[in-house]
Amino acid sequence: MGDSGPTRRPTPMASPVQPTPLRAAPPRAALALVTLALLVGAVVGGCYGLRQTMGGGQTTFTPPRQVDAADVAVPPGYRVEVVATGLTFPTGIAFDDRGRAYVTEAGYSYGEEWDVPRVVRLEPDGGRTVIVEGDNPPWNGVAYHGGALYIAEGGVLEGGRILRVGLDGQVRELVRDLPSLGDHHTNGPAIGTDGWIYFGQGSVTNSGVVGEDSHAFGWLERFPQVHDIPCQDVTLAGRNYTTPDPLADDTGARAVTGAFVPFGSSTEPGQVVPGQVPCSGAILRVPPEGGATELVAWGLRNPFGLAFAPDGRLYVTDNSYDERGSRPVWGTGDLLYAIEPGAWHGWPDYHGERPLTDADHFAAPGREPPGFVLAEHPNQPPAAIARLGVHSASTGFDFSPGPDFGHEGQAFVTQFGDMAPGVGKVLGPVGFKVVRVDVETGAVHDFAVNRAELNGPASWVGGAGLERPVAARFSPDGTALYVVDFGVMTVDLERPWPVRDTGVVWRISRTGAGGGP
Amino acid sequence: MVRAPNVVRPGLTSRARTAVRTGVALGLTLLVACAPPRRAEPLTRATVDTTDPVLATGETVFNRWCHECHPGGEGGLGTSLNDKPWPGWMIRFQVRNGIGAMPRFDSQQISPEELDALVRYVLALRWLEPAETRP
Ligand code: HEC
Repeated sequence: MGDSGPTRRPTPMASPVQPTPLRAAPPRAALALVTLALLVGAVVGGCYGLRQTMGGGQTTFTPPRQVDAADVAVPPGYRVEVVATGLTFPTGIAFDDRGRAYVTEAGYSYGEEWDVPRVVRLEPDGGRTVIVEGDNPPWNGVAYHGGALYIAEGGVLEGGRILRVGLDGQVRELVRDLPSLGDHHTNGPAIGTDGWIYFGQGSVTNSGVVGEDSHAFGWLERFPQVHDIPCQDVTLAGRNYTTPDPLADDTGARAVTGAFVPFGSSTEPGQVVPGQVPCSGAILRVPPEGGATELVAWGLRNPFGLAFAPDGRLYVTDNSYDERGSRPVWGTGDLLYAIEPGAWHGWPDYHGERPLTDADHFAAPGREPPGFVLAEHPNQPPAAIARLGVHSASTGFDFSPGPDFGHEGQAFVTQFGDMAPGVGKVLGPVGFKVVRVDVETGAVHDFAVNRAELNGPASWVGGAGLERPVAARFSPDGTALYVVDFGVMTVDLERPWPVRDTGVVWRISRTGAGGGP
Repeated sequence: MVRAPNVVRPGLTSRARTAVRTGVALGLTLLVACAPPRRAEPLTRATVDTTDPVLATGETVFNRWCHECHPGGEGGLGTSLNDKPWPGWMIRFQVRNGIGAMPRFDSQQISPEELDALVRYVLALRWLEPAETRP
């Protein structure tokens, strides 16, 4: 299991040390040679390209899901409880003025599994009340404000929407036709101190170019004209990518596709793609009563989680590039940003403040660097506050509001976990836990993990702990962190296989015993 | 460290030293390789002492440049570091040269002082008592 390093690498141990040259060598140089031989041997013996991918979804699962809080480890002074089980694709949680919890069940999952999106209230007696149902999934998150629920409707079929839903189930549409027909959807929302509804709008593609991966997702067949929309005018470098054409009847057919254009359309250097709002890969906002959508920030990829810090700044988790499609990008960790209003944050040409022209970092061994698809960049993109695991799928988060829970002002981030091999190769499961981020230093600490020798979802490491944590929210009284666990999703070369009825809500709180951070 | 007896001729001393070092390296490899790579805070019930300013710098540098591929020193996109016996200077060598699939990091990205702190942090993380996996 996992990366067992030296035990799998006999070469360095076997490499004989030549006595002759070493006799003259000073001891330090001898040590150097021995260890260098070890290192070179390790690298050659464990050649990266030949290593197998070990994603956390690369396992098998037989329902039902077992759940046991004792299998989830948290730091001393905290405890874990199970609040709800048997949910199907849960994605978000919010609390009303009375402290009652509302959970979104998405109604759609990667892997093209369909269901009815809905919000259920978790009643104190353990019962559940359906508040509202929809028909344009996935519902990716929910926030509560001033007596109503605000829902980010992903909208893979009809485009994304932001909905305002009374606790009586009355629905009012605040925004419609958001560009959610592709890879990523409408996320969030979070309510600003100004009362506006802030939400994330994911990009249509991995890195700007519609390709075979879009077909594998399922949407290219449905919407062959869909592509990314910039928020402001962009000038293209004119780079085009040739791929097989999965839409053609002729199996040998090829298609040539540029960035920010439909599949099969090529682009010219200097070509301008007009910006518009709503756009894809952005943070947008709308007044609580509805109205025109405004741009908050752009150049993001899939800004899934949004939360306002105690100081009022908007933070966002952005799921970084995958190693897939026509323009694969290697080695980019998910980013936690403090959003710079109005700024372009770098997608699809940067990872944080770093340009994708660096082949040593952003290309898998032996591949070409992704380079630039834009001829000009609106601004130097800001650096992120924290860089989380590559493919960790860092999603929802919330800030600890105070001393009752501890770590005041730090962000507790859920990591859905890798979807390898679809997103690229990993040498061990990444994510599948809750991490604590010190936003002052960018340091990331594990906070809630499965008890096992290696990291991974329960279905991979054994036990009855976490699968895929996807959202987090503190209770209104600030004493407990609620963690929404999407449930089991295995992944193979064909597609992700999400499993219904395996979603869970966990609750983490202090054990009265005081002390601690 | 075992010392070669004085009676041995210099050439042999060197060879003996090498043999001892190889032995130590092998021993360390086996020792560390037997331990799981996890140093997750909830499992180790201890953390690297970042009240030490050098280790605090090391932690920041690690999170800035390394964590994304070696989360908490565990495997991920990259290999796990916590279960490897690599001495400090070799971690340094790997950071500057990026042998294999790993990118290299120059002194613009990680200054020499930061690299010192980083190496100390990586070693401190490794030598935290390995994860306790049962409640
Ligand atoms: C973009 C991903 C990435 C980043 C960032 C990265 N590494 Fe690596 N690292 C790797 C990969 C992949 C390997 C395995 C190399 C191979 O075998 O081809 C590796 C190997 C290593 C090794 C050798 C261990 C072994 O198992 O052979 C050490 C030590 C190391 N990395 C330390 C670091 C440190 C310290 C940093 C931060 C400065 C860092 N790495 C940043 C991907 C990364």
